[in-house]
Amino acid sequence: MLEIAQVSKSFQHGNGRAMLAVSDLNLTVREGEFVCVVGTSGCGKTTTLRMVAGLEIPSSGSIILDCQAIQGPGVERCVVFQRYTLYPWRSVLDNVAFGLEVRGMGRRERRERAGQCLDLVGLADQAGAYPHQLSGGMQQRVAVARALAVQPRVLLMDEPFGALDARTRVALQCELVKIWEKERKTILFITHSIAEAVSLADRVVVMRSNPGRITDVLDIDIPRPRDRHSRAFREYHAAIHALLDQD
Amino acid sequence: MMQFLYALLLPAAFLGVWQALAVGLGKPAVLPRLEDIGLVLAHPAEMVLISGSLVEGMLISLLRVSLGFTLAALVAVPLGMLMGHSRIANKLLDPTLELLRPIPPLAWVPLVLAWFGIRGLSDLIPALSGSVILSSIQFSALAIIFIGAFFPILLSTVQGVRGIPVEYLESARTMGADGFTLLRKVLFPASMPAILTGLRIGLGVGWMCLVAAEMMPGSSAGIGYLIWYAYEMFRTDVVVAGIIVIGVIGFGMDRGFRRLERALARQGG
Repeated sequence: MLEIAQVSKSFQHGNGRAMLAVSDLNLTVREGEFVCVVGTSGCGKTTTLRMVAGLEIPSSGSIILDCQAIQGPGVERCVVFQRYTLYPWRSVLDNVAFGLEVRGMGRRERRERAGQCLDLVGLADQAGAYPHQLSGGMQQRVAVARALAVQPRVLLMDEPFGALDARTRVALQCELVKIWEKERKTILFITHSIAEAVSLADRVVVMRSNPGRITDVLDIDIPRPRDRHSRAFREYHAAIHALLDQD
Repeated sequence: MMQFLYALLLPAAFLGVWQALAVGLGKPAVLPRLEDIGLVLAHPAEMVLISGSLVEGMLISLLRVSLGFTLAALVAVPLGMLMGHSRIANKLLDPTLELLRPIPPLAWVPLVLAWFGIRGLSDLIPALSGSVILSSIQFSALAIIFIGAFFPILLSTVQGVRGIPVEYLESARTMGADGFTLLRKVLFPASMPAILTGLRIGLGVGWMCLVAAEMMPGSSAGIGYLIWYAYEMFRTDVVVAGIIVIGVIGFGMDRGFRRLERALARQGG
């Protein structure tokens, strides 16, 4: 269980003034839950994810994962970024094996495990390729496989499909849901696309800016696989849109 | 094919004018004929003057440059990575290095001579004095090549490290990498293309400093020494042959490095 309690974060500007990025965040993510955070740019959603990842330290409040306060980055909270996700000098398989290699796992074992993870995202046949030989969508799938390889307790995703074209994006969303259903990882997924949030999440957290804060949390009660053209989907979409739009 | 012919046009005209002038002037000490230069180049292993052969000079020069260059790389790459990665290290070192950088490497010659004199590797390791080639590695020559090669390597490395996308480092950290692992598995390979460019430029500059380094007292061999000595003996044909050898080697080294860079870029995308 991931607990974010009364977390605020301010950044020091060059002129010495502090800017409040997020204020008084409270959120509990259950084990195995898929939570999406939506909000316009500047609402602090990425800052929130970075604090959970341990890449930023909260100015106040606490973030607790399974009874342990988060002090810094760690394998149990792996991040998939939007860009520069793979190492261009490593083959696809060696990219996926990176976290295992860092951990000191033997070559045979980590390659086997990496191969399984590639299989999970349907790219087992690309093991020997280099990232630049893959399409953007394939690269992000490899990034997901790499994150899964270290078996994190929480998978953190920072607009991972944000740079992809619309079709690829939908395909990857479907695939991510399938993987999630199989692995039942806790996922915290940041996006600015309402449709993406509604198609993926058990719960959608709505954030707004000035200062960044959580304004609403919605349970998305649509069985999977979700039809984007269904009435329920459109209603959730409209509701979240209204929440983001109001003054 | 046409392009190749165009590229040859200017050199051919140059050689024609040279030869015409050389024959017309009739003073080989000022303007040697092409066939005399060719003769020297055609027998690279033969003793020219009394100072050894072209090949021997080449080997000595190459050894000096590789040693000076390797030392420069061994210092500049780690230092550059530190300065690129750590803001404190950069604040500490950058002003001083920026102050030293614009000084032409050759301006150090007198000071370097005052420090090292004509001492060389064979003074450090007496066993080397038996070999003509190994006994002619003077510290002062190494120091000048070192200074020449150092700054291009340092600057490129710093730039390379600074240019690494922050995501490379952050995702590595969330996968459990830190400290030395981060350096070895992410920082170093990610800045490798820039480091290679720095090495290529550094090697070029080091090579250019060579002739000057070999004109210093205490130097009694090497291609740079050879052309200086040949000039004093009025053998401009040897001078020109030496210049050609220096140019060709410099060109070859640059090409080799470029090839390495390209191979890496292909893989790195």
